[in-house]
Amino acid sequence: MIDIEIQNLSKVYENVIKQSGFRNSILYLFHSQKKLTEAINSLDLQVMHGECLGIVGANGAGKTTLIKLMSGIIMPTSGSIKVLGYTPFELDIEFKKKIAFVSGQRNQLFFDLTALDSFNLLQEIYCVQKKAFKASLSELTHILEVDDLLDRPIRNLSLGERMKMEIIGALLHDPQILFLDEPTIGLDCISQGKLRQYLKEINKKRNTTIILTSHDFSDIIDVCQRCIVLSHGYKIYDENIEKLIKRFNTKKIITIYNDRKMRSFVLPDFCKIIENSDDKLVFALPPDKVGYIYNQLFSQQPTLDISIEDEDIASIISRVYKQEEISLNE
Amino acid sequence: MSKMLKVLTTSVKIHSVYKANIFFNIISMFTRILLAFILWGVAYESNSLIGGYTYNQMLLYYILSSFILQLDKTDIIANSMAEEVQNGRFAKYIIMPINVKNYFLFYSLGDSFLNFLFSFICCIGFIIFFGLRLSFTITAAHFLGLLVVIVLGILIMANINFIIGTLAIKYYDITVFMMVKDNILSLITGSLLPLSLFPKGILNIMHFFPFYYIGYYPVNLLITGDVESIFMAACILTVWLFVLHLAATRLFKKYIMSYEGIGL
Repeated sequence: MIDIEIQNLSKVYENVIKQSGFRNSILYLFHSQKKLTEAINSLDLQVMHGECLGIVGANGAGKTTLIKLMSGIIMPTSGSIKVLGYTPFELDIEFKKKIAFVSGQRNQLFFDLTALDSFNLLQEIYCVQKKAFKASLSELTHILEVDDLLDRPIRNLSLGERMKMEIIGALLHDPQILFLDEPTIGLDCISQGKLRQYLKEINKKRNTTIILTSHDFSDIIDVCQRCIVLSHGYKIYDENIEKLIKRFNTKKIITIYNDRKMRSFVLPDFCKIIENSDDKLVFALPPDKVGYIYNQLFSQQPTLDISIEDEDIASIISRVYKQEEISLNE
Repeated sequence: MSKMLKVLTTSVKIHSVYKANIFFNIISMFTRILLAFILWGVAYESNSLIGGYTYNQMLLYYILSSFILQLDKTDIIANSMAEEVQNGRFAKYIIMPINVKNYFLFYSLGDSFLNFLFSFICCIGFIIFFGLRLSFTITAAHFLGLLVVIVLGILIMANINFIIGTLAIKYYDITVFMMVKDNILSLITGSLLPLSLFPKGILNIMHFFPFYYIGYYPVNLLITGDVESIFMAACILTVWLFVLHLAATRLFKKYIMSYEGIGL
């Protein structure tokens, strides 16, 4: 079953240009210029029910705009968008009951109230049965380890604790689609791990469709099976994450841990040195040359302490962006 | 309906957090009445009747109009909407399964409820403090009619404030709109001066606008017992409520289409 179907979707923002300086501020009172910014360009997308889709892209690529369009917060300039059979920006009450939106940047809960008071309000707003509400709340607070924080005002909670409460608030009504816009901002690595684990769990148990944007690629790799890469509002890649990594993972990283004086070997030209310090040497090389280098190194120095790793995902994705930058400029 | 009652009780919880606000609200109410006590005291030294009011009735007017206007906390609607639009949190109201206008109306009623409790106690205190005589002549049925007029007045103000709050979606900053509204309202609702002091021609025109019935009318009715026009007042307010409700709903539908969720 298709949950989200987007065809030829575009969103153009009209921004007013205000130049800096006193003179320009005065002139702005009488004359203002407008600039059109294309945030999403001719985008096609299909998301199946129960799928976890990651949206990645550099700043200003259109990730948040796309999630806002899908949840109905903003209206597209052109194209069609159907979510669970509804047109999101028509804001049908039944549609709104079936989705949830969590933003890592903005609190949705009441700052002055305790988390429990906010949850009680959400229970009423989303018409959640008392029994189901209690069961959901108990499960979520236990998993995210915030059972003892429910009676504390939101404003007295740490950023990470607040984020956990936001996620609990979003999941209480058991939405069919969960939109998450950078949900792990401010969370410590243990909480990040737990949250990812939980997202995977609800995806599996409740078959909730998850749409996730994050600058932390570990979130995407850990939670999502598929990801789309946006650049300047265009969808430049849309495929299985493993395939994407395989396609762009053109390097292996070798680290040799030893004293600089002990390094008697000479690296061939295809090896690119990344770090050459007193206690370690780090270099990158094409994956198919790893065997050759490995044999060479150990034939010269049989007692080397060495590690061979894939390039980190952040570098791979940056290369995807950069390659697209080049092709867009061309 | 239970959704909106929950919004109201949640709002009471939120507004009760800031105890200092409640305290200073009472102080400002007391200051206003004390000022009237001093100023009108001087004016009544040479007159026994001004604008048809005795000194006792004039002070009662100030106390009761302060009480009734305290019940109207609907400016929270415009201010909260503008604040939420500016900080990017307005999106949450768009995607929650609620009627945004009703949500903000009941949110403001939560504050009205708190104010009702404290203002009522204070009004009794002020009447005793200033040694005023209370002599209401209206019947229970008229009192009920008066309550209807007050509720309709609050709903009209809620719609006006919702319209101004909606303007925040386009203009972000609504400070000027609010300032203009407050200044005009303080004059035409009679909270600054009893409307009976206005020229008769202006007063006659005001009969066709809702503001006449929001502050001045209920207080005047309580003091003078002039109940004949109560049905007409309710009719005029109902027509205005209908018109403003339509305008508010249409404007919101139009502006929400251009909402860009800035700050989210």
